[in-house]
Amino acid sequence: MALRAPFRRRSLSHRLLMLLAEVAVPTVAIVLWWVLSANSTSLYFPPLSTIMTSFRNIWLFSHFGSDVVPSLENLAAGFAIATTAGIVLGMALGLLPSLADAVAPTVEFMRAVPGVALLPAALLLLGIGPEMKISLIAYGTVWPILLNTIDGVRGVDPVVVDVASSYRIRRQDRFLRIILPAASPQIVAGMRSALSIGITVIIFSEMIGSTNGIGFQILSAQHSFAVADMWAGIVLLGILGYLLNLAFRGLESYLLRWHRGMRQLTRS
Amino acid sequence: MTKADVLTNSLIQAKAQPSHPILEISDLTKSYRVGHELRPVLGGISLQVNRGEFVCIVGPSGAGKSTLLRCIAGLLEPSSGSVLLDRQPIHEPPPKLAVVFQDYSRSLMPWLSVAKNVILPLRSRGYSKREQIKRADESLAAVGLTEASSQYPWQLSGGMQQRVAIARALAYEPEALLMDEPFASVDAQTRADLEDLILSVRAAFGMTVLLVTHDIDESVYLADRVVVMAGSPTGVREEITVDLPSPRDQVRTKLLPRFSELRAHVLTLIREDRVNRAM
Repeated sequence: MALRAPFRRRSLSHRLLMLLAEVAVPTVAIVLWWVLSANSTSLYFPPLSTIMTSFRNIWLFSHFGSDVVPSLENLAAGFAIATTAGIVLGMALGLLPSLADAVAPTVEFMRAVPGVALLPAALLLLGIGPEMKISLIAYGTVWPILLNTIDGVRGVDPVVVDVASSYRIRRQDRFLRIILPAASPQIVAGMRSALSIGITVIIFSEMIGSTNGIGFQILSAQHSFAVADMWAGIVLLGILGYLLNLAFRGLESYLLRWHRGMRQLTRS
Repeated sequence: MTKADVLTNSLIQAKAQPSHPILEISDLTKSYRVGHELRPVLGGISLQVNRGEFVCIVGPSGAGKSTLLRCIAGLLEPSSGSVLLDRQPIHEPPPKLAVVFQDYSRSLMPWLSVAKNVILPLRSRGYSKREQIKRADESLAAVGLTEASSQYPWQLSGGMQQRVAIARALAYEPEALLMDEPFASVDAQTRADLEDLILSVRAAFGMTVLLVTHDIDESVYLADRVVVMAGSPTGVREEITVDLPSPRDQVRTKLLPRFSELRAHVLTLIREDRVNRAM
């Protein structure tokens, strides 16, 4: 223990330094942007101060309820459907290898079609309402969750399976307390890539087929040469993406606290 | 009769068990398909284990000891022959058996606390929540792990993890305990401690234990009877009654001349087998 103490202290100061850098880099970037764009007369790159004024006028708070909230609601609904369907189907396919083999080519084909490519068809079939966006997000995000769940379920340690059968553990506990948690690190990794796909799909679907939403506002600002408003929307997207990722990381570190603890232990 | 006599009598009656062996294995064979070939691993094993007996199966690595144990546990269907537990044929894991696996780090669920690992099998038995917790507490206490119950298994040492696995088996209240090389992955001192733990637990709970090991000293030290497996495909080479006094003691028992004799005898049988295999 005496030997390890200095190591720990160094790693703590190291972590503080990293935290400082994490804050410093964006701060410097923003300051640079602010200063360098301050006297800009370019139509396409207005000063950051102008963009921030638009940001405040548009997104705080006049369009928050009419555009941000619907975007987030649709994203949440589509992502929830994809997560549920991906996990349920993934568990089934992971546990039934012959069924998984049978549907594998179909899954590969459907996964290869990008969600946004289906937008024209979705517009025809479902119109421009939230149903279209939710379906498109669910379609676009289900694949990484589904495939990672299948992998995770197939990767469950056979010793754990032996324990489950020799102790006659009932079906619901096998699914929810053994297979699901065993596969959860991979499922969560799939959900993480699904989330970034989901953000892309929602913005794109709003740009093409919508009368509200963040994507719609960005594109209509561009159409009316309100360039500062357009940039303000893009800034908002950056901030939202960052916050969503942060929230997801919080969820992940809660769900997988055992996994992280175990890995840290084996690494030390 | 005094009150004490009545109590003793009723205890004897309660303990009176049917006389047939708890486990009867008859002419069990198991072959694995390797490519187009059928490779026999177990060739006609017959073995009986009596109620309350501690039997060690010892044999060289790769002799199919674990395969035999898995057939007994109902995890593997034998190619032919039968396994009877309490005269009932085994086709799936029976509720009266608990298994302790070799690799504790893989047999415990890393996402569940120690207590929840012990409770997990009990949930399927229709006990109330309180009953589940009570049983888990009791069996963790029996292996000296009360303090660790809220920790994750991977936060514990290897020996402690295997004690969690033993506690899980005890809470299950099996009539027979199957152990597959349970102490093979821990250091020598921990191993000795775990050997004594399992002897004391067995004495306290009056369980039948069938333990597979490749360690000759361990088999002689623990068992009432040692079954030596040898040959290819593997059969029962010899059954040796261990007439060493109980309770056993890591130092005194192992100093007995009889201990050395028995261990030498088992070693000779296994050596012969290795020579035969090499030829």
